[in-house]
Amino acid sequence: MLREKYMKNVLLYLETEEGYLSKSSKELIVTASNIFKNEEYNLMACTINAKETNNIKEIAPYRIKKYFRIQHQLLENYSIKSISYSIRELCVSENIDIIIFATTAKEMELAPYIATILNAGYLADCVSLEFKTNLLIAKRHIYGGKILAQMQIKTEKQVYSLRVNSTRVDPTRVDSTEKQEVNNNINLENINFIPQLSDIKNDSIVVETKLDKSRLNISDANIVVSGGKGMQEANNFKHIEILAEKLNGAVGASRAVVDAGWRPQSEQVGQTGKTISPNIYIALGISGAIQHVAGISTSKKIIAINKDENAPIFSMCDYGIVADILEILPKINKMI
Amino acid sequence: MKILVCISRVPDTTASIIPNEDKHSIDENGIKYIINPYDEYAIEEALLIAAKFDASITALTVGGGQNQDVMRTALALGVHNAVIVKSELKNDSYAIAYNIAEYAKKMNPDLIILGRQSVDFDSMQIPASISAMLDIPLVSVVSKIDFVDNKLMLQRDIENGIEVIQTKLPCIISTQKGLNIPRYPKLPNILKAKKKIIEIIEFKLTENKTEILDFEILNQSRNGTMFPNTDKGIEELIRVIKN
Repeated sequence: MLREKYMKNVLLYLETEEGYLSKSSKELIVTASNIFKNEEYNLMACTINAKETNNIKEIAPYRIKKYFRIQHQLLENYSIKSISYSIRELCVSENIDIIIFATTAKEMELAPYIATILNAGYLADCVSLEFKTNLLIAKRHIYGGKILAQMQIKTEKQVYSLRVNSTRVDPTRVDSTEKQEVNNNINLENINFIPQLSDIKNDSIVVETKLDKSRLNISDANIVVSGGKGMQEANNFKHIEILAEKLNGAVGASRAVVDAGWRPQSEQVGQTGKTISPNIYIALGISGAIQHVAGISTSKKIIAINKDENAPIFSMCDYGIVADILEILPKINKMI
Repeated sequence: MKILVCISRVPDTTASIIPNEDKHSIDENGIKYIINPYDEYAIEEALLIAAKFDASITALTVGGGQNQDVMRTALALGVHNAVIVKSELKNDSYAIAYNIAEYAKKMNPDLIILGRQSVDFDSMQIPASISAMLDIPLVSVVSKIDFVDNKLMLQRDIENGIEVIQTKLPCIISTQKGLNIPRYPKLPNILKAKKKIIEIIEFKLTENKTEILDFEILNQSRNGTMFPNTDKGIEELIRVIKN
């Protein structure tokens, strides 16, 4: 007699930008596919009011079995409440056990809201999620990145937000042994899901969105070139802007430099700025205070240049040069 | 108008943090505690609003008796009432949100304002949890607040820009750095605050949904390969960047 295993259903929330999957959503798909390799887990995904065709192509190569396109008029304007209750309806109808978000500005408000209305435990901004025997263990940075905490959720229903690494999204990053099966995922079910959302009224509306498209933002960029007080004055950041442009990267800044008014808050990296995880982080004239490093510790490669050989940044980088940043930077820009 | 400001007491960001033997908590000896930096913007904004609109401000924190220090600071800054929800429990964001919500249900504030996250546990979850529990709209990571007629126009940060959101009271706002410039308490007010009464109320227990398994010091160090400050060294560096 065959006994059916109890399958667990995992839902990935995929944020979209103007209807298309965002970079962090694509990274979440790859990351989650690598975590939930066990046959006992059904991977599913959902989007809110997304445009159809392009999204399917990006999800199809991975382990995702069902893709729910959640659509509703109330969801036309971003609302934490409407989105959360829509997802709750989906979770109830599809018996979802685990929901995973990426660490983005909006998802950091959606994830805990949904966890609360589902009565689910929630762990935020996990740097990793791994199975140890059958338990899902999350690792988080706490106390400004000084402590690594291992935690787990005790409730049946669980919500996580994951810090996804900024890497080129590449189908070969999914475990190669599974690649064959993954590439033939013709069993992806594409379902339109229309929530009822009865008695829900939108209580706040987005009246304007101002995107700074001229500059690459530090949260999405693969390469971030960052400057600190060692740059001496605001004007010298032009060298950093040149380097960033040559590398197709974004410009970042230390807290000191933002507080001094040399660079905008949106570029600040660190504990009271943004926590980023680029492929390459280049720290120029930055001493490496722990609050700064807290914002970049999951970067793949950290490169530092500082004229002080004892600067703490040098024990926290992969490659470095001791040099006067104002002398070496123009040279680098010429040679690169 | 009634404003509720929620404050968290956290280790100074330069403090050395070491796990205890039990690996589930940190050694608090010698650590200087401060008001969570993001909450300072919340207190300041409440004070600015109160000055314009004749509002009363209640500051609330969930924690032990030692939280008196941050509450006295809040009183010295100008909040009218201070409340400690007494609990030795640490780091259970859900329980903290639950207790804040329970207090808010009795107080009925027009505005709840708090920092976007606390720099100890960094869960960023309390504002949204309270919003869900009270069914009051939340606008988070707010860097600008304007009252226009009966409405609130709020600017919030997203990855590559900002959004302007319109909402009305009652609502919850979580504050971002740059919202305002927090003032310092003046000495006469610090002295007066020592004599003010802080209300202590009972903590309501909730089911513990998450569990700490282990704390370890995060080793941020990397294997720094140093290149010389020569043309060859620069070439090597560029090679490493481009790969």
